[in-house]
Amino acid sequence: MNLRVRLIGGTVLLITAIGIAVLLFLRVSLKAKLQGELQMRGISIAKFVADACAHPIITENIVALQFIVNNSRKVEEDIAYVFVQDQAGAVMVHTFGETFPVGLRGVNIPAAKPEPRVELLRTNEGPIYDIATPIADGDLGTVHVGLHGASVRRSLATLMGAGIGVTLACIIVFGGLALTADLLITRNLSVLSEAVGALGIGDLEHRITVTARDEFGALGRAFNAMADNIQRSEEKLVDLNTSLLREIRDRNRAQEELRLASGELARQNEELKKLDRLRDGFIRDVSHELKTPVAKHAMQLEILRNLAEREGFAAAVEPVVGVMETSVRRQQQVIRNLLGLSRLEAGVRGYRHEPVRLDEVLHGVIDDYRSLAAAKGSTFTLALAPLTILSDGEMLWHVFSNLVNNAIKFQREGGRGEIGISVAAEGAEAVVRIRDQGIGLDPEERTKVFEKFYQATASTEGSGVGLTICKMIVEGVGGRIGFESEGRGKGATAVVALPLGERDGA
Amino acid sequence: MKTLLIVEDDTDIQDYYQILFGDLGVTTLQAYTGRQALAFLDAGQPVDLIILDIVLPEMGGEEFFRALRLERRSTIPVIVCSVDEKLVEPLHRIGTVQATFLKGDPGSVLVRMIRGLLGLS
Repeated sequence: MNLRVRLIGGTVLLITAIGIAVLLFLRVSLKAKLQGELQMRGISIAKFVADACAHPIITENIVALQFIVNNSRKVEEDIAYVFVQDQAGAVMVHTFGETFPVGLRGVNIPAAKPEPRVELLRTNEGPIYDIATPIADGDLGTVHVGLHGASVRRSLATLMGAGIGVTLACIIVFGGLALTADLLITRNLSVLSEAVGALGIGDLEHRITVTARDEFGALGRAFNAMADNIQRSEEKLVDLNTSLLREIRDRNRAQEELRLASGELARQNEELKKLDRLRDGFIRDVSHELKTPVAKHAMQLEILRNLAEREGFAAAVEPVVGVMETSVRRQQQVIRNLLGLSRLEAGVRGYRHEPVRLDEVLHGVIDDYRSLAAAKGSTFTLALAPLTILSDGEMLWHVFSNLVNNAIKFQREGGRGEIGISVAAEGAEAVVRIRDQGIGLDPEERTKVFEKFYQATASTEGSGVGLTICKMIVEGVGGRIGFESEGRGKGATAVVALPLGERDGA
Repeated sequence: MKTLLIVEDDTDIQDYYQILFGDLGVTTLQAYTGRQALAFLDAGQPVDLIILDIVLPEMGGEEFFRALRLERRSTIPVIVCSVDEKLVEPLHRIGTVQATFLKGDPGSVLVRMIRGLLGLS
């Protein structure tokens, strides 16, 4: 049921109900009141008449009595009749004209004097109130005044009619008011529900035009404010969503890149591993291929020497064979050390920790270079203490070979230099000194010689490994390497200091 | 008479061995691949010592050694000869190698090894 029906219907029903209730109440109370009033009137009239009748009765003046009775009847319209009864109940005078209704005779006998008694009679003329008043306390008789009760009804009817009219008017007025109110409410509500509906389906632009300053106006303004907020929030959400999507896209892209990079990394790793394997294989193959011919040289030289000895031309071939044997031995050593070095650099081989007799290693190196030194006119002066340290003999051979080679190589022009080699324990170190009387080094060169590619003169003898690698090896086994020189033209001393362990020594 | 089985693909080196072992008074069998060496053994040749090179065509020294020690469960003493001691390492994991000789070292060393293993003077 919609608002209008409820509002108006309710109003109508309410007013009707109130109206009915009020009217009923009024009717009941008024009826009683009116009846009472009527009776009072009747009683007063009756009393008046009674008083007036007293003297005529006493004087037995019927004419006067009739006169009084007739006159009193005219007092009011509603008086239907007046009659007087004597003590015995006989009707002395009446206003009925010719005949007195028989039925009235025994009516309404006042029970208790001197009070008047009212009795309602139902006659053909309608309800009549018979008011019987005792005359002189009933000693002289009774006055009966008959009042038409219809007037009461008439009054009531008029009142009721008016009441109903008023009620109807109220219904119309209040119904109208209700309608007006409803119209007002409905109109505003429909504006609001339209706005809400619009908002509901997503029209965030919709606003209510507010003109009123009442509660509806406030509601409308509140709605507008809400719609503003929603619209702003929506915009913010859209922005947020856009930036989130962008971020997701970026992140996805980054992830994809990461995945690709990771894949690339895995691939490169595989490549590196393959290269590692290839390199190891290469070193093995090269090793074999280098060593085999040299080994065969050694074998053939052995055969040659044996043959020479057997056939007796050993002395003749000795110089040649001797040089070849030396050369082969050097080759073997060089190859061994080169391969050891390359394995070291490749990380395949680590530094060994074995007992190394430094003096023996140096003896070995010196033996190798003896012929070369002799050819260059250099002599060796030795002071080799028999020191044993825990280190990598093969790699140290490398270093010393290089240093001795340099000592020989950098002799002064045509100089008959002395190469002094010493091994001695100095404190916690075993120190090897290789001193030459060669071209020497100035202060700057003393450190620069260890730099890669410094003085890149290809070495024809020795292992061909630079001082850079010597430094790497010496430091790798925990030692120090350096040059001492008093300057150009004053020779130089290579100093290698190696840690002398607790148990190391002679 | 002791018999020596020499497994070596390089003919120059085989020749060298012939000269080297000439005074030993042993019989030598020359195989140039691992397969040939196995054929000698399959033929029922009594072999007292094997001189084994590692790098061989067809069947390498390692493969032969595996067949010798693991499949045939042969206990014939073996002297491995190689230029590179690194190549010998895997064989130690397969079975007993009585001696290792580095080619290029003096031949007398190898002869001494053979004398010792064969119980010769």
